[in-house]
Amino acid sequence: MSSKDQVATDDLTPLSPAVFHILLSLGEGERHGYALKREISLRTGGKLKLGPGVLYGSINKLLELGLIEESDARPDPHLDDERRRYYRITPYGRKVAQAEAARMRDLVRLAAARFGVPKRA
Amino acid sequence: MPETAFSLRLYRWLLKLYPAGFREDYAELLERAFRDELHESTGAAALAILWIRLFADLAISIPSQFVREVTQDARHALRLWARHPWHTGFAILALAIGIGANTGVFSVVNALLLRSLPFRDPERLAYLSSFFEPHDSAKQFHEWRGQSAYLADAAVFEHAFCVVANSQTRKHMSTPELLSSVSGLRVNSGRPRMPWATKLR
Repeated sequence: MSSKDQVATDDLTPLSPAVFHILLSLGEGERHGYALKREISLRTGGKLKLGPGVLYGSINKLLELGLIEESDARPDPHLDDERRRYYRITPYGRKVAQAEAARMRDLVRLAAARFGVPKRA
Repeated sequence: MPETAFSLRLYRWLLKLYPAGFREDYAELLERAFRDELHESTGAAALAILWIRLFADLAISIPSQFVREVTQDARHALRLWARHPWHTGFAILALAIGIGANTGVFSVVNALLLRSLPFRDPERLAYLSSFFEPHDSAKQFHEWRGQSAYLADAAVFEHAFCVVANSQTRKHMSTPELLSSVSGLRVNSGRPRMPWATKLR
């Protein structure tokens, strides 16, 4: 997707939890699908377990929107199957993730002002 | 393991439910992800949980991929139409004429051939003529009507001519013509032109 076709970051938010977690994981570096799934499951304490359909459906959507792209780099070539596809976040994807984080921060601030924030959730 | 082979076969079959475009790009990756999950699930209980999760995953992702592809196709079509307004206009005009002509033809066919008569159970109506003359008296007709084993009910009319007139006009009409004007039936020479009209002798 060219920069001309890219929609404003605010138009893409709010992102679905699956999409935001994928962007969060790719913010750390390149990952393949299965590594993304494992990392998201670990980060959420097993609350968000992405099935293959939802995972690759979200990846497909992110690729089409230009938020991520396929990468030729293979961080661990001796550990990985060559047929695995790696993905990395694009600068536009980073901007959208920032916009989503800012939206969530504002929401958390509002919720904290209304209800207070417990010491442990 | 037989369960693994069966699970793989079943999952490959279920992948065919995805739209072709998505399947072309991701079938191999989806199968690989499934193999990874299958490898981690040991035991019958773990396999059952895996399949429950997979069915939920398929139930969410298959419709969403279809919606996505249809939306993309619709957007692409709208962009094409906007780029070629004359072609689009002619196509819409041709469609409008085609739909209008079809509607007109169907209205005529429906009115003449398909639509039922405005009576209760029109398919059970029958017109009987010249086989019996039970109307020498009303009593005789009603007796015949009550005893009939093959007619649920019957009515009788006599073919005769009468004069319908008011202060300005005067018109000779036969009984069928009068029936026609009252009931809306198209009757000619005492015989309705209806598909249900059955002549019994």
